[in-house]
Amino acid sequence: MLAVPPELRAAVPPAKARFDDDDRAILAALGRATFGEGADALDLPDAVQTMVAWLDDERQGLVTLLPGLFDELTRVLVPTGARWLDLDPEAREAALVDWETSALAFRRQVLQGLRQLLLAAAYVNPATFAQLGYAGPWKGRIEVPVHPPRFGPAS
Amino acid sequence: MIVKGSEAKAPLEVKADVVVVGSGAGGALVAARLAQAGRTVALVEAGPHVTAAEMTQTEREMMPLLYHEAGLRQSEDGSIVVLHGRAVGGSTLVNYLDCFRTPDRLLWQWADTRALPEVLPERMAPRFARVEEVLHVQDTDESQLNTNNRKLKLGGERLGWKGATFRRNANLCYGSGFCDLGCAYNAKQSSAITWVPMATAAGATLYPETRIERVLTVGSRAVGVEGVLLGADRQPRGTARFMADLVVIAGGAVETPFLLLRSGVVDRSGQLGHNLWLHPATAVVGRFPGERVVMTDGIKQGWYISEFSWVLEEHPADVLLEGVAAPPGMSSIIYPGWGEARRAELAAVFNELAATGVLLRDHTPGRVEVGEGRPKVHYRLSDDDAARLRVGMARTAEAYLAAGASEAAAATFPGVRVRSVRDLRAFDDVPCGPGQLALFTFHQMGTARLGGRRDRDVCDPTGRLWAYDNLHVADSSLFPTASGVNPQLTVYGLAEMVAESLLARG
Repeated sequence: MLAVPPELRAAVPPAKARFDDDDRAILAALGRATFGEGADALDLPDAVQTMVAWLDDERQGLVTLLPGLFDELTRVLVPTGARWLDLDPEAREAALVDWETSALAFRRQVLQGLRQLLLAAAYVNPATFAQLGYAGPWKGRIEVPVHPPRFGPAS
Repeated sequence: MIVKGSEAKAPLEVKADVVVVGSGAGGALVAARLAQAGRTVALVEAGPHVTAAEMTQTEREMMPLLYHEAGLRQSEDGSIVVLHGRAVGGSTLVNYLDCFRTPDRLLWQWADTRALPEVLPERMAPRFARVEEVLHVQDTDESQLNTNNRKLKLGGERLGWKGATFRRNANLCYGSGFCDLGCAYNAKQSSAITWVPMATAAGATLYPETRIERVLTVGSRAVGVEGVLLGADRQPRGTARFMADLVVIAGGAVETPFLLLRSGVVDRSGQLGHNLWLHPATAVVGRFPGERVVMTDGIKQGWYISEFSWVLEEHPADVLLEGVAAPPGMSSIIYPGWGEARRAELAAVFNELAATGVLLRDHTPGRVEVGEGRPKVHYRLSDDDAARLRVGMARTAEAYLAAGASEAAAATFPGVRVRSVRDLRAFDDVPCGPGQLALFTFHQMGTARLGGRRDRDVCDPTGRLWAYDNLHVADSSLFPTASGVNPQLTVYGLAEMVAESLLARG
């Protein structure tokens, strides 16, 4: 689709911290609760893992703590007495609203951090473009010439 | 000549008259001016050199290639997303082309409060003129406005508010609408296709994919910089050292203080890294049912409302309302709600939405500190700043309602929606704390401010660090306060001033 030499694209750095299986299960469930139908087809845990690899090393470690923190703290801080992953869908949504409207800033920040990662991972995926009516890149669709740089190329 | 870090023979040892760290607006201009004057110049950039032909217009590919941390960098408390370029051209590669000369009111204030006669309007005007010629700055014709920007214009005009089209550094722009992912057509006159080729044509050598980690000093003199060559996967693959008679740091208001602080440079003002201004910005959308607004099409920023700006109109709210759009990955996170209901609604209305960025001139600064191999950005919206941001949100919603929107919504969590002017009171106490509002910064300023006193300012009026004979800053770090308008031309203008002083030193 894109006339770009593969070697010119950014190579994903090696991850300094990774989500474990529990984290991935939480991310998958949160992906469904955040994005909605079709989340599973987007493989959001994998997509988020790739995004996290772009962060500075120290921050990768912090971000990979978020799913477990969210899941476990739901048991402690939300009147459910259960991990978020163990709740039924209705109770999960109620717990999300509880996190979103919490008076504790760190709870809102944990939730929004996860939400931003999941939604960004979902909507940068071209598979979601059509449902928004987003046409995507011109390249490969509308061909116009590249202007020669007015001062020549850097060389 | 270009020597890529991923291909250079390690260890790399370079001697030059001048080493410039950072190839954005400030660094590229200084490199070009000094190279044209016959100096041997090494222009060093951590990010890659990406040409128009390599711009794919997709977020998934371009965000990692062109932005620090793939556009996911945040303040330490996660309350604001920090977007800045990391490629040859820096943020000029990914900005929306807006070109404001620094408003005279602000220049007078800077000259007065910081003892900076060199920034008086009559001194800056010829610098701006020279820069604008290189950048091909021109007015945006109203016929070029897309529907998104027309909605903001219509609403503002119906309410009698002042506004205008942006001046932009564009040449033969097609209006493809991917400015934030790098211009694939060389229409945007970024520093990567203006000052950088001017520099290399004059003999400068460009070193992309080379991350500088330390400024080398001996007593009151800087003697060079050192760092690492980066592979295509951004991992270090060898060391790099640049020895020079003159060192210019231009990594932007986050990376510049980070580099200087981790190098342990002397700063008797104690202000290095402080006074970080971010122009925190949030979005308000208006829905126009049955209309194809398609905010992602066309020139993204075409119209702004200046009515509530202090630097332009002396309004105390000190906010600028700018028509804007972002690709789906970025724009989707601001739409509130959860799950399938949210997804279905966003799919139904996405192309009916008009969007405006509410850009706040912040009065309470943050700071940059050194973390483990990374800069830490500490920033919290103060109560006063939040109050003025609410004014901006409410006025934008009002403009959309005046333009015929069925409803307007802010990027708050939970969401705030208004359907009539009476509802606008909802903005009076909308929560703006961490995790309650989508906040972004596209403009980082301050942290190594200019000024006439060594006990309170990091750099002297020529951009030189007070404690050193030959260590200079040439980027948005120099701003004494937030600019209140998109800062691109201000950076170029101050860099021109720095270059003049360096050339005058002989």
